[in-house]
Amino acid sequence: MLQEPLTAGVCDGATESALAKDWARLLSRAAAEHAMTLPDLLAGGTAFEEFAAAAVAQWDPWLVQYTQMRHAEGRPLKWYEHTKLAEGAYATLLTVRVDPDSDSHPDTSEPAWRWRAAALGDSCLFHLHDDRLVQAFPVAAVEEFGTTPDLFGSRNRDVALLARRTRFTEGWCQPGDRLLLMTDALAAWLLSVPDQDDAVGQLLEFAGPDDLAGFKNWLNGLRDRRQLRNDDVALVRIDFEGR
Amino acid sequence: MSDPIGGEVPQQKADVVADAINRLLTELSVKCAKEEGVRDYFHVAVVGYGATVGSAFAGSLAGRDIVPLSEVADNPARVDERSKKVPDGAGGLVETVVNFPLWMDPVAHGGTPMNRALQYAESLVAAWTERYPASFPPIVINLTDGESTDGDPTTAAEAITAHATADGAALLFNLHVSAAGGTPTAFPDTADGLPDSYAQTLFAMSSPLPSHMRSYAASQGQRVSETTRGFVYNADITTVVQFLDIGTRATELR
Repeated sequence: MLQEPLTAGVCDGATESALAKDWARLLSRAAAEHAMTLPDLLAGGTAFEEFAAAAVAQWDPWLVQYTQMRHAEGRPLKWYEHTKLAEGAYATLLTVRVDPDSDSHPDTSEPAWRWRAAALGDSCLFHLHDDRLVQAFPVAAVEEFGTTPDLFGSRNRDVALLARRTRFTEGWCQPGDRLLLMTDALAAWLLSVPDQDDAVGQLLEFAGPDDLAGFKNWLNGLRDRRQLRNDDVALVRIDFEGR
Repeated sequence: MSDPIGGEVPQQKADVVADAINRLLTELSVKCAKEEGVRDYFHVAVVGYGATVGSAFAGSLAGRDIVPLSEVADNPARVDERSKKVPDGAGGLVETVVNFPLWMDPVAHGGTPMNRALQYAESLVAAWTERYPASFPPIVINLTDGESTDGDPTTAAEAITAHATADGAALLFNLHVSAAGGTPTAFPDTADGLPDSYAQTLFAMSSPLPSHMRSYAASQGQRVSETTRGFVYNADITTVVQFLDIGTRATELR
């Protein structure tokens, strides 16, 4: 059972930017690591700005390394990659930290966990209690999804602006609760279905690595029926049990 | 197309048109560039019209009609390099090399057989819509000095927009490069104020912007209405690339 804090995140690279996958990977790792050592970043302010500056500072050195690697492999960057990479890479940011609460939640004698989250853009966190949706963050309605979400740019040094546009929230989980972190297409599906409880039930069928093939088939079924936008999907599931 | 156009530095109209096409292809390639290559979100044909009508690609793409964007991006006729100072993100400037790929050179001889050119484009559109009925409808961008020398192009234009895919009618946008002066105009919703009858004819031939393009233009602070058309007069046509949707846009926070 988990007695230590836990951090997790989902970052979704923008279709239109090159190396978005790499930037998303770097950003989600930086966020999870910083949230572990600097939990206050999940409340915004200067702690978040410090993290944002540190994440952006990692990009150019990574890019130099990548460029050298491409060169060494005899595949130097093409003209359009030079142009594109000068614009930077873009991704959403969603990161969450869960702390086992040493005191139980004031309203109950059961063990509880406190969670805090930061989100920039449209990757979403859902809090389930009794397998029903009790909180959706930062997007609450399907109409809010579009092709121009706020994005964390790999060259954005305006950390005050990044902090201002990032949303922060927190909550409590009891045994049996779950947190789901997911990219926008799947989140939009969950917020748009007529029967949300049934949709949650379908989603919870998939719990572990052995379920990957089934999960992919299920997603492809939704895509074929035009219920899910044809876009990448990432899902992180955190289940709370006893302590 | 060999008349100079107005402005501080008189520039041959043919240069303006070639420059616009090279910039369109550059923007489109960069928009769809991912590491390891450009995605074939679009296929592109460049049709030149003057003494002859046909593929205007120079270099290794010469003679090709519709080419996947990845091949276009990988095969410019040449890439010019120029130095440029760009912001370094920390308040200073840094010297960098900017690449200017070129796929076609200016051609200024012969007439302006717009009818034949539009008919040629229509044959490409017809074949495409038949082959890919579920794709986004083709977009024909006609860059011209407006003076069709083989008759009124309206019927040929209508023939293009009569083709459709499941997603809607093929689109015809026009860029009119003119020495007549007047106010440069991009994506107007009325012909009022256009300086001459050529501009008005081209405006009338241009497709209204589809709703998703209108909403993008509006989100960028452009004034648009339901009657806004894909027409540009002596102004930058390359913004049209920004109207094309391929997924999540990569934009800095504002």
